Amino acid sequence: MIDNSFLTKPVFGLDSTSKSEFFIERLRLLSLHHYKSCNSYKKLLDAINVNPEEISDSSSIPFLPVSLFKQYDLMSIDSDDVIKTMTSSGTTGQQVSKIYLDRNTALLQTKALTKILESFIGSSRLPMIIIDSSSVIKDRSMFSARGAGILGFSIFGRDKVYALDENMELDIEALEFFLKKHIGKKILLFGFTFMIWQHFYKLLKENDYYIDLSKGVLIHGGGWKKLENQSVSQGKFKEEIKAVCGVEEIFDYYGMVEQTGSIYMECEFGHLHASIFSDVIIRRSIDFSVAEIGEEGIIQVLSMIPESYPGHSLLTEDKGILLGEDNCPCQRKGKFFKVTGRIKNAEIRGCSDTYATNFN
Amino acid sequence: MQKLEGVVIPMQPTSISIQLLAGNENYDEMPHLKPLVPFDDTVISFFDELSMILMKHPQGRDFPDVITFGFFIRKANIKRQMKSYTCLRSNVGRGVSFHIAPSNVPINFAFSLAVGLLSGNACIVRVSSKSFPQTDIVSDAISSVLEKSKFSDLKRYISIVRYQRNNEINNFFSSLCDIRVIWGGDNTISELRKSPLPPRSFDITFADRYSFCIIKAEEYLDMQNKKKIAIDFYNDTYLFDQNACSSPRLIYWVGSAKLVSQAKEFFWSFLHEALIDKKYKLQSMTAINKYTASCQSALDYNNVEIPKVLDNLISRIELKNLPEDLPERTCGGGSYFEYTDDEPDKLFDIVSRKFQTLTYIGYTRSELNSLFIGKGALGIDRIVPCGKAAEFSLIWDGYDLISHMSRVVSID
Amino acid sequence: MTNEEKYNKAFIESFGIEKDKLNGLKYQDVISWDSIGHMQLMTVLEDEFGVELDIDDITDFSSYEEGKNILRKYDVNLNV
Repeated sequence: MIDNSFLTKPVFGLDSTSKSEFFIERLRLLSLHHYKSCNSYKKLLDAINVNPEEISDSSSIPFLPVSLFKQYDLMSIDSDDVIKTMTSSGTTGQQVSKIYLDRNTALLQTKALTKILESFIGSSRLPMIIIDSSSVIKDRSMFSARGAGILGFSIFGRDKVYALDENMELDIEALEFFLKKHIGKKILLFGFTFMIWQHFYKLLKENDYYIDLSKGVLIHGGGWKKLENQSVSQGKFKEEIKAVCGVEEIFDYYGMVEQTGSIYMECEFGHLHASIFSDVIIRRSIDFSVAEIGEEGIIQVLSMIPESYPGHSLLTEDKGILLGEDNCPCQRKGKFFKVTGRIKNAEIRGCSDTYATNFN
Repeated sequence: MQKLEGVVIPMQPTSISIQLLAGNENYDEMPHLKPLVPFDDTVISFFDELSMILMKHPQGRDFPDVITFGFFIRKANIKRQMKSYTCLRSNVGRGVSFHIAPSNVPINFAFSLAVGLLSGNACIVRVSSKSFPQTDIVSDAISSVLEKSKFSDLKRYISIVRYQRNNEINNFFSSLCDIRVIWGGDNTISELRKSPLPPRSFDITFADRYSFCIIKAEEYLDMQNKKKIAIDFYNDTYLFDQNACSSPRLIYWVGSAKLVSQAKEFFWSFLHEALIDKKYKLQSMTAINKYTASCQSALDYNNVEIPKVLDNLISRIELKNLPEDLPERTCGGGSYFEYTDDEPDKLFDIVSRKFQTLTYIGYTRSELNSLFIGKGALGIDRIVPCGKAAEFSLIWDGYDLISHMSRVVSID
Repeated sequence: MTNEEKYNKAFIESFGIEKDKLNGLKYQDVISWDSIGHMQLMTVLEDEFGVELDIDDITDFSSYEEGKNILRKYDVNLNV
């Protein structure tokens, strides 16, 4: 397999010059690997006339639109070697992304995630409250994005409790018992942003309940769209959570099932950071050229991890702004950015009523 | 339940509101109205007055489609259309026509109303639940013309309505009509077909269609007005975000590889200039969708080439052969399949029922006549010069609408 | 019970497998040794041996044999 020594480098310690040497080379090798092992990827590169041998900078690495993973089974391994299939969340009837992992890529994902998290919360395992219900990981053969996230982060939990029961109600008893058991210790809380708001925060507030999590650190992800629809800003989220359970250390992260492991964590200044394992490029929708710092565009994500599937360079359906590189006041090196939202569906003119299918 | 000549008609549903934009609210009386003759004088007069209001409308500049409609329904044009119909002397309207307009072409409902009335029928026209200024402009104008006493009777023949999509209401209107005219594509057609029709009533459906363009490279290269051709092509495509059923999605280039290559350079370059001139807005998601469509083609077919383009305004997908499932690919927003051949015959390999409009550049009418007519192809309803794809006609999608929507009375 | 026996019991009970499957067993070789099964095994071993495993060690614990090497770092002696 390709050289994995990048795993030992400092997670946010390399500036752009030091990082680019091995980052570009690894991505070039990944492109070459997928070109040889994934027939679909090869067809695509041939169609756009890109020779993976000749890739010499990040911005010339071809990117796949994430929706391709919904329609096609893209893998660079034999189907016998697939040990895990991850799927994105979707409503019934919607197609979901399918990501095929072999042992190696699954391991790389876990290693990347742990390195990133360690740099934020230290390497000791903590008592952990998962703000979800255990039913989310019921089907052990196929993990949704929520299940995968919870499992991925669970490695940091020494003793775990699920905050919600099967009805998505707060299991106050279990929480109280758990907190008593670990009184005085630092607690790790993890969950998806909307779940935390809807099923943890709201229920605590409605029942006028205060649990002391002042020693807690909360990591959450999954996007802000639903909260935006309820007019809850990122600032308000943090304030309200603190008010209802005392948690002060709150970190958002940006990630997706198509590139698990190499997530982008929020620093103390509210900036999302690309770790040593990944990179981000903002592209202008008019021509996909690289946008300037401060200019909003479509987010392209790059990752050194995906070996079992051609997911190392992806065009997402999110908009964002690159804020800087190597110069965040938090002292972490690398690019940092913010996500400004999902790209909305196109308003199209024309004779065919595309929404007739939503009739019922 | 009302009973009308042995047919049971459900009462008008009151649970969902039907907004009346113009005309008659007494839907139940419409099946009892006397049908008119095609091209009835009062109808022509009504459309002429409507035309005058629309052509002079203060917002006309902002909405060229309103002007286009106004121009179409003016008396001189209707009289000209009439000349093609010499055999209608014993025709009369069938009764009531129920029209379901497409959700995304604001002015289409007005054309549908025109064919309905000109063929002698009372018309219930459901406009899109989406609000468009053009719809308001035209229905307001209709209301004001119908205020005149000379049209007080005609007013009973027209209902322009809006309601959120609803089975109950569809059932109600379907039960009243003799003809149901369904725009909006395959999905809308199957939705409406859930509502039963009375035994002698039938559907006129405008299903998902596929359109394309044929260009003879050598002729194109000699043309002096390449800039105008680009604007014509723009009007066929980008004016509707390439989503009208008549918008070409495939370009069939005829000529040697060398000539076609030269022609392509000019063609795409002039089109790009036209897009810049017209300040065409490309939405972010459209850029992603087009790129995705190109990737899908590269994966589904063999030897696809996605040539480098200036920017995302124009997306091109070059094919080495013509796959049968090409009509399934309807990305829109400026995504074009291209195929090159010395001869036009390969077209016949894929022309199916779905094919509607063929626009042409560099050909003459007679050349195309000998090429296509009488070949027994299952598709292609109209062949028009580039620029005329979306031009409305009383003969549309292969239907002679006036004849179809009127009934013949034979007396021996 | 010897350490060896405790170790084997953890595997046998966590994954519902027979003793003869243990030698050479790797993560994902059996359906029950998936990510969830892995967490369960770690918890059982930690309880049995009174140790608290590091995250890296949990990630690197990829086989029956490797696990023994890892536990040795925590002064738990097992026959190799």
